[in-house]
Amino acid sequence: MSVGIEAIEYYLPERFMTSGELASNFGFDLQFVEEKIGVKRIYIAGENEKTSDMAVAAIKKLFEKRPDIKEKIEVIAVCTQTPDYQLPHTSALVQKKLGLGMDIACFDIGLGCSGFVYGLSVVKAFMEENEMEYGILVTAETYSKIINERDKNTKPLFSDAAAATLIGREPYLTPLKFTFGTNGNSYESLILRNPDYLFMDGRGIFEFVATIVPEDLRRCFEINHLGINEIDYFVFHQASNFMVDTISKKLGLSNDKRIIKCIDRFGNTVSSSIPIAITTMLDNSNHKNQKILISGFGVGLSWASTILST
Amino acid sequence: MSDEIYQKLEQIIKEMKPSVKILKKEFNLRNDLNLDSLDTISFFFEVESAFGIKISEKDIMENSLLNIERLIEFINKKINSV
Repeated sequence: MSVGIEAIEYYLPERFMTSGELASNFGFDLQFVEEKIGVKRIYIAGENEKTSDMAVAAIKKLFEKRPDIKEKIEVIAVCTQTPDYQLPHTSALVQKKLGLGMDIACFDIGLGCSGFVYGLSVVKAFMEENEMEYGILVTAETYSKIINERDKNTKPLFSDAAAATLIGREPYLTPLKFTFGTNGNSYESLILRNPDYLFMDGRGIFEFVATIVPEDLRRCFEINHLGINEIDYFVFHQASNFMVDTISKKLGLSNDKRIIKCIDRFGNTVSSSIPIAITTMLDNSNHKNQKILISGFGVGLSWASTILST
Repeated sequence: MSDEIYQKLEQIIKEMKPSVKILKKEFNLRNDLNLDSLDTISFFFEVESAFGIKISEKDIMENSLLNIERLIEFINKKINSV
């Protein structure tokens, strides 16, 4: 059996800020925050809540849904850029906090918004190579801890969250071929210098999203031998409404109902935005024999796409 | 050349803001055309792509390029210096 996604659960911290608070703090129109950025609330991890705590909370929800797999997990990969410690890797803390056995592979993946798609490929290949039955890819970020509260470029956008994706051999979503890319020349477009806060060059990121990402998507359609009209849903990283609209426009898909948007409910949750978006779109209807494009892009600059087949 | 630049700018603006019927040279992108900060990013990206030039934040600030007339002059100079 091919290896793919069997289940996804996510965790959001209790604390949040509303679009009204964001608009008032930064002197934005409410309409700009809710419609252009697309955010109605962003989530903020508790003062003592670490990335590993959020990862564990998401995995616990997965175990509640699938109690049969707790003792069968053979690999946990944590994708994060806000680890609890510079070292050791956060996945080791996750293993400890969950009380899992020592016969388990744990490693971190240090990617941002492209991390879910990369992670999916990495964990899938790792499991296939090592003949494993079950693995978990956790995406978890606490960007609120590295953001300047007064930075109007980043604060109204980023949101803390974790998503746990169960990867196994009876998937309801099977990845087809992947595309990957990197432009290290633009590494300063989104950067956390030490000591400092997260910096984002809005124009640099926009140029990336308007040029490289649509090219990558076309390449993804091509290598999977699928036309754009054969895709049932497009799940782009929920960077902002504006960015999702920009990609849609560049692909000739403006206002297309197949474009999934859920940033209003969650904010930009970095590497968790795609798995969370998948859960929201698959909640409500039957999805047999469908093709779902997923594409992550961001810090690096880094990007990756694939098509999930139901 | 300035006329061609003006026409291209008008086309870009009309695509972004279909409600704009005519682009006046004295217009300011923010105050008269109501472009917000994200629209402005998108506008300058389209301008850079259309004319094959780079316009930095510093250029925008130092040359008051939110004004259409100033922007036309700047693009004209930039194209002629290539």
